[in-house]
Amino acid sequence: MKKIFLLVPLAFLSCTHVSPYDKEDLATQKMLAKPLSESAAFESHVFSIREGSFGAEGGFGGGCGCK
Amino acid sequence: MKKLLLTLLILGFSLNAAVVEGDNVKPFKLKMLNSDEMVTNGDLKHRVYLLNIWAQWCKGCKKEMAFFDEIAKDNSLHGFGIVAVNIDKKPKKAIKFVKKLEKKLGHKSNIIFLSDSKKTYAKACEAKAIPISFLIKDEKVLKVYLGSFNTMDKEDELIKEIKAALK
Repeated sequence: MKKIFLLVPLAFLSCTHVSPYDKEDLATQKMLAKPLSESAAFESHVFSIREGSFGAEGGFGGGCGCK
Repeated sequence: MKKLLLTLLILGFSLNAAVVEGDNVKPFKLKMLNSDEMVTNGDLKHRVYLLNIWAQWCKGCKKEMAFFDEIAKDNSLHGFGIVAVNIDKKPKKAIKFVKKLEKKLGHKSNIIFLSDSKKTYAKACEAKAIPISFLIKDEKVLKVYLGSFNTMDKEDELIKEIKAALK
């Protein structure tokens, strides 16, 4: 019985489920990984020059990161 | 003690049961989106209608509104209506969207827009997705549709179901 009382609070400490109707704040532009599309393009350009490679940023391709 | 815990657990789950086909419609009393007029499920008692839960921040929801307007004014579906319950925290954004939609359509929308800014109705229905739609006849849920009709290519299926419900 003691174990149950220990496990119940632990269950509440774990990740929270966000209901679909509560995702309003998550759907905003600022919650995107790259909220500013203009600067994202620029950052991507700088990154590709610095790293000497591009691609594998999601979407198309196999994700190998090679050129 | 174990029995008590189990009963509480079962009770907790049953209180939040999602709406499924064959259930009675969850009672609602909601304000119109652009006026203070209240609409209840009792007002639509003898009608066949599609109750849609949508939000302005949901792209799929906005995409299917033109289709909803089209079927709401369709003469071959006489006696059918669309009730769109908006769950935005700030209904102003949704009102703006509706105005934009009406401008695009070139006429006043045939959809009954309601506001549930506190999401009490969405919570009561335990909406598993946004958008979610319930086809209702005589206060009974005939069908539950998860997701946007446009993206799932389910427009024809819905029209078929509506026609069957109107018979």
